Amino acid sequence: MDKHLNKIEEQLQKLILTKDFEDLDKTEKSFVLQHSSVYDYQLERKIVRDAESLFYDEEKVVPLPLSLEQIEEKKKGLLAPIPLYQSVLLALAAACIVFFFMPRTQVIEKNPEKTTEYISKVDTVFHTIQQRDTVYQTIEKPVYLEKKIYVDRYISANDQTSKNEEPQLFDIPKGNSIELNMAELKNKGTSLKNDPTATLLQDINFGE
Amino acid sequence: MERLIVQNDNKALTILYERYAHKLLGYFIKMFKGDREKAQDFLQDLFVKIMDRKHQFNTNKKFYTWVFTIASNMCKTEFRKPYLQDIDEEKLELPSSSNENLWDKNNFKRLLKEKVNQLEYHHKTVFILRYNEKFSLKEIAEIMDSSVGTVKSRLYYATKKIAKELKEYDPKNEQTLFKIN
Repeated sequence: MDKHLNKIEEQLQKLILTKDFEDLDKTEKSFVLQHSSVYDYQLERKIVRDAESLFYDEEKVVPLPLSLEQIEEKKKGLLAPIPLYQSVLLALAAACIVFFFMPRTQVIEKNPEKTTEYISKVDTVFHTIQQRDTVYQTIEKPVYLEKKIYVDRYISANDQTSKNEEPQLFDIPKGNSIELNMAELKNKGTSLKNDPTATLLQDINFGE
Repeated sequence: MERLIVQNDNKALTILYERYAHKLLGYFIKMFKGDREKAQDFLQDLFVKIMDRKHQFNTNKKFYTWVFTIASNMCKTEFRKPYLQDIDEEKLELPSSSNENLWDKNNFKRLLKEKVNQLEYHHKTVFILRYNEKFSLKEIAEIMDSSVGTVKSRLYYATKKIAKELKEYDPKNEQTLFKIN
């Protein structure tokens, strides 16, 4: 691609187009000699001048009459331009025609024999199996049972200390009252309800 | 042209043909290295194209420029065909005798015409449009869809190229012929 002209080239071109070398003034001659040569200047000047009359013979050729038939054909015939939607419809119609009349290359067998083909394939399958199991663990733990047996005994009158001591309903640990509150006390006595002698007592409702 | 657009009138087209066909035919002949038959065919095709594209014409612009734009585009398409580049590739003979030098009037024109014909499309088009069809630089820029600067540049380099090749036909060259005192 040609690069655009710089100022010197433009000035040189302008001079070539307008003046013969002999008609240039002193400054212009100096400019031409600085950037070109007399020979090149005169040659280019001659090219430009002679180019005007170069094709004299060609310009004398008479054109043939206008072929209106060709233009009429163009207007009415197949070559006439059609709107875009019409060309789309035509294309669709052509596609349908081609589809229906296109020879089928695929042969369809009516009773195809069933054959089984085994294709060996080597593949790697990673299968992760999760196994779950129940494990029973036997833990032996010693259990200590404490059994208190209260025994009725007859206390002689002489034995003052034993007389005052009555059998207790609860097994109360000895200590201060706070510990007493925290302790789990179990009723170890016998309910009157279950006592057959309780019937002897009057005006007592046992919640029956 | 307006009548042609509005009425689709063949008579209007005939008038346009009578007015511009001669110039356009000359242009095609020059572009196609003197092939007159091809130029006649292109001229007919051009007027068919004018009918086709008449709605694209901007009535504010010159019809003459617009029609040359279409003609140049047709030439451009034709120039892309490889066979056209092979035609007329024969080398011109160098002047044999000392009397037949480059600066001989007839010899110079013959050689110059040949060199113009050998130019590539862009150079040849600007050269012919400027020096033969007498279009302004601005009009050429419009026809070729380029800038005035590009047109100037193409003209300059086209002339330089022709000059460089013509020098080869000058046996005496500048020392003897152009001694300026």
